[in-house]
Amino acid sequence: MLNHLLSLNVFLPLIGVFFLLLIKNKNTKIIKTISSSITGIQLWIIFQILAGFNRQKSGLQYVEHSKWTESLSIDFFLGVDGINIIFIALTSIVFFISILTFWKKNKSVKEYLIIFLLLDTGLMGLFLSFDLFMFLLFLGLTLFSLYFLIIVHNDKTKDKFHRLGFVIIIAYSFILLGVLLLIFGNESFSYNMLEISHASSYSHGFEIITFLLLFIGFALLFPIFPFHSWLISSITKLPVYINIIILGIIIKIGAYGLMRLGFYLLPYATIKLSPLLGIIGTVNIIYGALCAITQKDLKNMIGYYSIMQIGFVLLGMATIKGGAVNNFQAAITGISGAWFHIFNHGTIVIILLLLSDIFPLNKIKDIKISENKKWASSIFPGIVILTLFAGFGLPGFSTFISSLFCLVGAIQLSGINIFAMISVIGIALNIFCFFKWFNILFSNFSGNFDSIFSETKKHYIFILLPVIFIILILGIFPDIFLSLINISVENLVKLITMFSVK
Amino acid sequence: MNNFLSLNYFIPEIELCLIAIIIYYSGQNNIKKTRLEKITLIGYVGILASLFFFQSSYSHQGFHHLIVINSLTFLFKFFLIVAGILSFLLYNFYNKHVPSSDAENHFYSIVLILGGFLLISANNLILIFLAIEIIFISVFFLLINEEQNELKTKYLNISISGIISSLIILLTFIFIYGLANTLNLQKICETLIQNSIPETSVILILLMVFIGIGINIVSIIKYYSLKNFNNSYINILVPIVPIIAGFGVGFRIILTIWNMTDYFENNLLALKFALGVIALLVLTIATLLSIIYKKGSRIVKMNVIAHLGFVILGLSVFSMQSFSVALFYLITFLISYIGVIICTGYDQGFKIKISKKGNITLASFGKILFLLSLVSVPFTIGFSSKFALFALLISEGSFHYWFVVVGLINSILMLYVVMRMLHKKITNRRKIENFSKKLPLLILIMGLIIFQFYLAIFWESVVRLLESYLNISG
Repeated sequence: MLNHLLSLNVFLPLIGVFFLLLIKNKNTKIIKTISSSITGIQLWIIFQILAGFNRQKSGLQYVEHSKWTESLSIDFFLGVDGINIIFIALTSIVFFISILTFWKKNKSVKEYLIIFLLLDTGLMGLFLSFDLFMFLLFLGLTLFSLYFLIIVHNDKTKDKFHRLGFVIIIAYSFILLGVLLLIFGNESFSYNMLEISHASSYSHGFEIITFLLLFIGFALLFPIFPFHSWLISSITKLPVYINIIILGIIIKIGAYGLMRLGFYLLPYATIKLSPLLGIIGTVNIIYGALCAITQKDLKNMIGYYSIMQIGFVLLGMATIKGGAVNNFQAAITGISGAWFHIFNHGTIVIILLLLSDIFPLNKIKDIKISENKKWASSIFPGIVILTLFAGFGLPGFSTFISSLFCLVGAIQLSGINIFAMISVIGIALNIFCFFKWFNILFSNFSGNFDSIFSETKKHYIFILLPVIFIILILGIFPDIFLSLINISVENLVKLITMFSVK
Repeated sequence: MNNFLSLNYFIPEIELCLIAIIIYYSGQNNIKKTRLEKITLIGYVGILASLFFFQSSYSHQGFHHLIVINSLTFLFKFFLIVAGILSFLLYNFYNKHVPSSDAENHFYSIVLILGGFLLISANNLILIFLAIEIIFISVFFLLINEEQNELKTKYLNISISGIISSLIILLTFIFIYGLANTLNLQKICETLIQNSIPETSVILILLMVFIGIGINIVSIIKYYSLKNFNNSYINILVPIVPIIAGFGVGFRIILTIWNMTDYFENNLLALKFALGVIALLVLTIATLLSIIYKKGSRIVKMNVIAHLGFVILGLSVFSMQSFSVALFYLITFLISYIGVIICTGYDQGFKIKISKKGNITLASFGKILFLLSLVSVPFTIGFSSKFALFALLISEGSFHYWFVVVGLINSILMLYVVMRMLHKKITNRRKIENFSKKLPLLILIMGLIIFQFYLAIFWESVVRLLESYLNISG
């Protein structure tokens, strides 16, 4: 069984779907228990993978490779390396928390959780696949299950083809076209990502076109300015447990896809177009920060905050140029920072979203004091303060280190350093934004924190505490995380260097 | 082998004629409903058995003056019989029985299948023409018989399209006869090669045949009755039998051309291009029309026509692999379509229904799944077949890249149209109080769903199997 941990991780939710189909709709508790057990087991599997992951070894680990089709040489190929391990970890955390947040809901439980588990399979498969056909399959499963998850559960979208539907179709078509070009543009018509990356047989013009197609597709999912409007409208309309999935992991598909398909398979285009990533990253940072300041709704603010954080990720990814100009350290620092930032954003956004669910802004003044829940009143203000600190990246928190890495990497490279300098303004604006929220949350509120915990949200505190713990631990001991990805990032930079020498 | 009296060639066809006659006389004598059902069912099973017994054993081609029997014709005839049995079952599940109408419906269905059988196997120009007319007329009467009170202009339109199509085919056949001086298809091919008849005229003839048969099939699909979901059996029988029969003869023609590649030395590329362009035109027009429509039934109709375009696109590559992929595409499309029709028939429409307890009904789930399969969403057979088709076109290179781009844009538009429709249906779900359970149909739907997932994963083995089938026939 331990040899097939990755398959188990991918297909376990499907087994869960099978069981859910057999259970009657009214047994909501059993349905929820099974679903949360599945995500819990997944989390345990991820711990097993993390524990057994050799941090000194380059290349893929836990590989599962077998033939799927002969004539088209499509393989069933799963593997884990430093690049995707954090995504599967983040996915399992996000899904586990999302289902806990969903726990008290009793509307459309069965159909929601069936699609929820399908989405889980799609995401796990997407991050672990090393075959382009499988990548496409799981990407499709992910995007279309996400769409159905939203329309099944959300009544506000009635009679309207939800904006996310357009985004999904357009993004998927661009990515599909890009992947088809990747498959049929290489000399051996290979679907294997490793083979393609070692052969690098594309012409320069072909690489640029394919990279741009993939970039547009993934940019829509990121979302990058000006394709961000779907994210803001989704956040305001959707419940917190879906928002956790969207902001926690879905918007990270863009970064992963760009890295796995763009950087590894199209190194020439990556080097040539890396300044473009820097420009777009900087625009995202400044635009996101400015918009976040002006927001009066915490949910909207989180949306723009996420757009800004995506900007940092892009800035970090732009440092890949360092591999081509012999500044390895800058590239390694920047890319590691970007990947660390992805994980950190995933954790912080969970807490912010839960806070936004607890603090509907207009209700803060009406909160009444309750004497019975003293224990909560002592913990909760601390959580709020820590979250806000982590949000703007106070030293000692993981976000500080990751955003610093992105900026330090970028500032060492000529051509990209200017973007790093401009991005510092974004950090200042972000701090200002969070201070504003301090003011809103604490000045309007003079009562006891206990009362904000309605019966349905009491369990949030047990979700918030471990996540805060992760943010603090990673802020103090970032090496726990960085050691996971170091070797893979170094290999990527070497690949780029090798190509630039050629 | 070529003895005209060797009747074993014709046994399934003769059997079909006999059953049609028996049903006709049963109707005349107002026979009991159950007895009529038994006769029809036994007839179908008998035809299936004799098809296996008499026509599947030809490992290689069996030529005759009138018909050809090989593994390919056997495969297509098998599909026809399956469609016939399915439509018969659905007729008995869904329809209110009127004794006189029952017999007429079964009679026309059998005649329609007979026409399909003849067209698939026909080795003679007159027989091909006759088969096309039989199919067309039986479809016409089936539709009229179902909607006697609604004789509208659409039937006039069908007749006009049918007449135009028949005229085109007739003119083409006269032209062929003038060139080759024989009616036998095999001899026509030999004469073409021996007498060095210009390739351009042959290509023109082929395109005329495709257009003639195409107009017929498209007009049937456009006007058939999908709006009345009580008629699930018609929704299966009417578009599927002409499609299977049309592609049956189409595949045979294409395989013959493929065997004559020496003859087409210079103009094969032009033929490929022309076929590809026809395919793109068909699928683009159908897709664009589907954007205008809001009704589920019309969208599905246009989707069916667009899929025919994709199958022709696969055929236009002219290689054994492409034929197998096109055949696979045809099969997957038919499965998805049948799935949609059975599920819509069960739910009496495209509405998504949930039971009193809040569960989504199996039929509604199946409907969503098969509709998604029709627009090639991953993990459905539609995706596997379209991927195989695009892979094939891209590996062919040159102008086929552009075919892929146009095909891809059309697929995306169709995806948008169906997702838009599904969005509405899912958000406006209907709760049903009395959830009637028709167990055999539910088992059928479940079986189709499982089969579709199986094909979606192990599609390559099916493509290979089809390739071996075609190799024997080619």
